[in-house]
Amino acid sequence: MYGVESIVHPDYQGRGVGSKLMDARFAVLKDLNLRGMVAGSAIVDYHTAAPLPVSRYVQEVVAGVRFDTNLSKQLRKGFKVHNIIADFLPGDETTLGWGVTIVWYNPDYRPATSNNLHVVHARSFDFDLRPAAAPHAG
Amino acid sequence: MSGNQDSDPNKQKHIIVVPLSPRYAAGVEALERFVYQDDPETDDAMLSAAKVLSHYTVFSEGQFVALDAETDTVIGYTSCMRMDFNPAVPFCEPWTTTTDYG
Repeated sequence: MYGVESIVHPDYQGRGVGSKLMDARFAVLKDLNLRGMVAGSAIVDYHTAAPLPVSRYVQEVVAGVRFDTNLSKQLRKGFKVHNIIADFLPGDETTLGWGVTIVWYNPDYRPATSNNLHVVHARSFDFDLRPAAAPHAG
Repeated sequence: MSGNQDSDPNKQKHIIVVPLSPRYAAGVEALERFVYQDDPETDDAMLSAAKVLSHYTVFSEGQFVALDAETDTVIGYTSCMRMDFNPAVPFCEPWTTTTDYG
C-alpha cells in the first residue's frame, strides 16, 4: 500500500488522531497480507535547519538527534527511511521542497503459498439502513 | 503538529476512527480546504469530494475518517492505495508520476 493522504484538523491535533488513523492503515495491511506500506514524508521542519544538507538533516532525525514534527512521528510508528525525494513539494517553504520515502514492513507478512488461507477479519461498518419492506396484504 | 490548548475537561471530545462511507466525502473535502487553505478545484494536489469517492471506489478498504462523535464531523482522514513497490528497485521517476498525484 502507499499512503495518499493523511490529515487532521488543527483543533484536534496532538491527541493521537493521526496515530489512530495510521493504526487503521496497518490493520488493513495485515488483514490483506500485504508486504508493507510506502509513503512520501514531508520533512516539515527542514527549513529551520537549512542550509544543512538535507541528507544530513534526515540522518540526524533518524538518529534521534534532531526532531522533525512529521518524520519523527512516522519513525516512531515503525517506518524506515528509504530515500530522499527532490521536488516532493515544489515551492513549499517549510520543507524547501524536500521529502523522504518511508517504508513500513509488515512483520506478519506471509508469502503466498498453495496452503495459505487468506483471512479477512470483520471490521466495523458505517451504513444507512433501508426501511423494512411493507408486509403483503392478506 | 500543534497541540490543543483547551484545558477544560468538560470539553473533552470523543473521536472515533471508522471506515470511510460516501456520505463523508463532502466532509473530507471541507477538511482539505480548511487545512490547506486552498481550493481542490484549482489545486490538483488536494482531494475534492469526487476524488475521495474515486479512491473509495478503487480501494474502499484503505479509506478511513476520524469523526468528532458529538457532531459527526470529519476531523481527520487517511487514504491509501495499493501499488507494487519493490524496495530493491526504488522509484526512478518523480513521486507525483508514480502516484499520479494520489
